[in-house]
Amino acid sequence: MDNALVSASRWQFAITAAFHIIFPSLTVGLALLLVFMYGTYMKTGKQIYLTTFRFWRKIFGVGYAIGLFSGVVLTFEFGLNWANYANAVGPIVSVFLYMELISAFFLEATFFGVLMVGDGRVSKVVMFISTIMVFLGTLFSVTWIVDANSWMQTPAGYDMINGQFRATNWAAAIFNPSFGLRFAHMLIGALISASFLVAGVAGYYLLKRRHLAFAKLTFSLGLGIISLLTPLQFYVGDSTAVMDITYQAPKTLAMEGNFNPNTTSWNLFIIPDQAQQRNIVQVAVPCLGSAFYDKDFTCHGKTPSMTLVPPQAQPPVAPTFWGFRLMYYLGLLMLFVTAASILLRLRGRLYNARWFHRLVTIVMPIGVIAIIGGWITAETGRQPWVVYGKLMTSNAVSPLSTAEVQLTLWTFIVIYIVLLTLYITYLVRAIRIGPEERTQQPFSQKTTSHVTMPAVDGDSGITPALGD
Amino acid sequence: MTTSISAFVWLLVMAFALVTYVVLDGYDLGIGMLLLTERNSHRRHSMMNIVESALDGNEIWLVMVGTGIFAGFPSLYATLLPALYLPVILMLFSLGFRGFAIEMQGKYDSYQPVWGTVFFIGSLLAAICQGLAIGTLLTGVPLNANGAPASQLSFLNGYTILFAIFYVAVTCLMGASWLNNKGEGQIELNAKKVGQILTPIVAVLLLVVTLGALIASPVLSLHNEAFKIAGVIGMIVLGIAALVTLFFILKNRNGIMPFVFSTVPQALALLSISFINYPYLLPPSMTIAQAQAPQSTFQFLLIAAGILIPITIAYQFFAQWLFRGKFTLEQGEQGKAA
Repeated sequence: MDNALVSASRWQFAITAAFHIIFPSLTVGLALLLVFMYGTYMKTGKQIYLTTFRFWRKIFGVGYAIGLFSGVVLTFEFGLNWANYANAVGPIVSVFLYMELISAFFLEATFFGVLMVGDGRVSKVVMFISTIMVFLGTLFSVTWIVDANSWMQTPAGYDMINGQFRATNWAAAIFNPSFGLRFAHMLIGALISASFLVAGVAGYYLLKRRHLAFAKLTFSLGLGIISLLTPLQFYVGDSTAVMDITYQAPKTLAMEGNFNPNTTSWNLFIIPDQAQQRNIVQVAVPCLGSAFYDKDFTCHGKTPSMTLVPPQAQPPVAPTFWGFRLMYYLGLLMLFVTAASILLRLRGRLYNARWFHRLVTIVMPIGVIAIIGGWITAETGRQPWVVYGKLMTSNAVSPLSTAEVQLTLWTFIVIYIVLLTLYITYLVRAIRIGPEERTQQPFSQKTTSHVTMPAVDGDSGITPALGD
Repeated sequence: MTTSISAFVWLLVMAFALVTYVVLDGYDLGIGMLLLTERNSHRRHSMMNIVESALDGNEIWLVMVGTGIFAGFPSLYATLLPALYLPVILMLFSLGFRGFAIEMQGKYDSYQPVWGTVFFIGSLLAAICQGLAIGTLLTGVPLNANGAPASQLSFLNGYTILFAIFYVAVTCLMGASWLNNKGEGQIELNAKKVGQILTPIVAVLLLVVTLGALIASPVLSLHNEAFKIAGVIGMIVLGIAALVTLFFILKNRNGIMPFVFSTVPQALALLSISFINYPYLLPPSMTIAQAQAPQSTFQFLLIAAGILIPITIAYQFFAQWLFRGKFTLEQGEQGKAA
């Protein structure tokens, strides 16, 4: 297959997927937050929970819409750019996608409408149920999509007839060897990402000394979840890597970026030259390789080398290594935030330590970035296979003209940049305005706010934030 | 190779999904295009709000069709999409920007012209692309020796362009009928007027695309030609009858009935194309039997669909019921404000 065509097709899919993952990485956690907030509001009647609910609902809504769009693009992209893949794996992978659609996508999309404009039109119980349904939808989405991708990584329960896969055992296909751990890893990652966003916004308000009730509540909650889940994520992540060694060893070798079979070092930073099977630049820690791989602290075990795999079957080391390091190093930063938050909490200084508020505000996006790094690892590490060991990526593309694909590739890039800019602008604006703190009851037309409401025709839905 | 029963059943499910999509998204595409006919920004805002609550729930049926075809007829998916590469991508962008525009519009208290324009253009482009795509289902995609499309422009010919024009007109008509159902006051009155202007136009276009289908089909003469021609003529008669009825009940009736009638020409146009094509899934060379997925796939799909589709329809109805009745601007604003 024409290399330029394969390359353009791969970039297009990669960019769509990377853009897409930003949004589910946030919306799963935000949806759960909305459930918690509205449920607590229903139970306690306290305004602060409704305020928090409404603030994060708006942000959730916009992110959800963009994520939905890019998700639909991905679904069609399988057929548009990867027709041979679609034809070959359709009987299995598309069934997972179909299950995602019918058990998750429909659920969240239907109740999303109620969630966004239902206040005042439906009862509190219905609002609460709708919020739960939206969260369940996002959860089931993650389940099936990770399942589809996991099947590509560790195919099971199938045989092949005339180049087409077909299922012989659905249970084996669905519960393929890598699914469980990868699902846990992604889900926890998504919850952590949303928590960093929520805590970051709260940190900002603490710094500006605005919306203090809202800020304290969400700062504490966000950091609490981060503290619980980050250590767990390290355990799950490590287990996933160990599982990878069994099923996709070349990926783990590329993750380490080591070309020297005689070293015991662990690479911190490399610039690889894969054609020459060496690293042009290498910063490594001696003996750490033995510790990680062989659990050997006496510095005898060797760090496994990429050279164990014949060059034509090697994944591209640069993106696999750097995707993994991006995720891992940010993970270490998350551990630091966890430790700091626990210490500050124990000393009762969580809401006073302004250096910490500044830090948490700055690191708002690290969850999302780490997830992108992880997915880069997962997907580039699987190369040159699209279905590991069974179907090569270069054989999977659609018979399109290279020019066509390059045209759409650049169009996609422009559109994603525009959408991302719009989203971030919207996010910044929403944060600057802040949560509304009127004391209007949801079902009555009256308000006790000191800002007078104009007549119905120009009825304002957004009042200036009080208490600035 | 014969078409398996499960493949045929799945095809019916897909046909149902396609018609559902075309009906549901039809009206919101139509309303988007009708924004052009409405000068008053207050009413434009209302029109967009009417669409907002149902938009995602409607568009998702498109994904149902896409994913369902991917699962049940992988070779069709793999052949048709590259043949429709540019229109499908343009359609996806248009739908995406519409979704974003509606979401952004909902964040403001008054009508914001830029989002209305984005929504209008997105709706128009999406409708044109969908029309081209459906038209291509009739005129077909000739394949070369490798099974790849012989030309990158099979989606662009006289018939597909005509079908796109029909598609735009009929979705506008559905949009007007929906506004008649959900809108109040001047919106409702304007909708009636627009609907009555469109009805005869759609009738003429329906004739053109159905008779045109008989002429443009590369496979009509291969199987049961006379029976198919008779069937299509029957559908034309039904379609015209529905449109005539619609013309008269638009004047005096509100509620859902005019909308129901407005969906008939669309459904019949789709039905004619499938009827003419049978047993081809994609003329001139791909039959249903050739494209169908292995049995193990259908076994899983049909069980899953059998359980989940009725549940889905139930909660979709529930969600629509929650927003039943006329849509008032105050209620919409209250929903966002409260």
